[in-house]
Amino acid sequence: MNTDGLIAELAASAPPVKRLAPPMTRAFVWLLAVAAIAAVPIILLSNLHVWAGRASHPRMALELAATLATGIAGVIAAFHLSIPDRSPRWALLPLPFALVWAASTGLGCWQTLAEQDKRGWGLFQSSDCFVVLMIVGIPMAGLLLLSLRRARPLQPRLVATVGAAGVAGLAAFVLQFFHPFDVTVMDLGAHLAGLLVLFAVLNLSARLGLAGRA
Amino acid sequence: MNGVEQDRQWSGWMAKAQDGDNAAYAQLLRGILPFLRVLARRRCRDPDRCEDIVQDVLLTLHRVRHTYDPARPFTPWLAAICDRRSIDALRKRVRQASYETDNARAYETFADPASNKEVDAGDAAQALAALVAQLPSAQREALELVKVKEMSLLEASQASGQSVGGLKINVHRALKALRLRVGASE
Repeated sequence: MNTDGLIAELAASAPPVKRLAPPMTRAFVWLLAVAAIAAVPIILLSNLHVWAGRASHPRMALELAATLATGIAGVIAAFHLSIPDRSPRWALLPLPFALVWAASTGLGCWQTLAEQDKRGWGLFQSSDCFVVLMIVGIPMAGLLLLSLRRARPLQPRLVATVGAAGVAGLAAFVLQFFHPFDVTVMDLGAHLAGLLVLFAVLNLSARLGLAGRA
Repeated sequence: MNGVEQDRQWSGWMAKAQDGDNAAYAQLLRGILPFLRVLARRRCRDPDRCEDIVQDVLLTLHRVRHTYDPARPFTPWLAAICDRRSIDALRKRVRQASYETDNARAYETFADPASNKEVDAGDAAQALAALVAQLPSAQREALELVKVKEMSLLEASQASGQSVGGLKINVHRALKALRLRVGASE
């Protein structure tokens, strides 16, 4: 088909469309919805008193803040990247927070190891951590995928990767409410494995779900 | 019209198109064509491929037109789509080139020479017909009557008005001339 014919055909089949809200607005609506959903099990099932006690420790407070910031930044960046004219540099937004998160977790793990010697290698409830990460992360990723699909992103891989990083951060933050002890080396390994599995699953499903949409 | 005014005009048309104004949409798509062709040519030298990219950009614009925010400039939004589609086209070409070999002859004939008899025979017949057409008319007529239509010399003489001896000489000269020309063309 020649270009003039294509233009005539497109112009003849262009019903009114509903404009997308700005990506920042969409990101905050999504984050609020997720916060509202996540608040229910946190309030009902977690021990907030213990959590508050742990969060008052400076290193733990930094870790929690960095984890939450990684999640929020990843989600905001993914919504921005789903729009054609936004800079690809948005993809870097979660990176500094993720580095702080990794550093503070690593520091906590090292301190546990130093203080508790052999107990620092213990497994505690690592399998529970993995399950919580999956239970929280997978529905969250599904919701994010549904929201991002509306924009029909031109770069589905980049959007999926950044979005998956955001979901991994948020899932790790929620996990902290059900994790009333410092991480051991084995715990850290289980968390890392859980996050990597979550990241891989979300990334793959998001790529499949977003690819070919635009 | 400068760039700012043009952007404002395109943005206005796009906003109307989002509201369902098909005439404004057609104006917009026609208006952005030269801009898209310039952008596509920066990434691609082949005019046909450039036009493929332009059409791909138009289709993408149509699918994602709900993502344009009229409060923002239109040109960067459009250029980002064009950039992305140009890169996708380039990647696709590189990917295809990595596992496909372009051999023009492969499309013309079969790989097995024995399978090309019909194709080659058609070519040879055309070449021979062209050589015969170049012969003097008396030689051509003698050749066609005696060798192609397989008439006897007497029949050919009656049909053409040439003497039997003249026909023999003309057929001989025609064949000799054809042999020479076929040899020269090979």
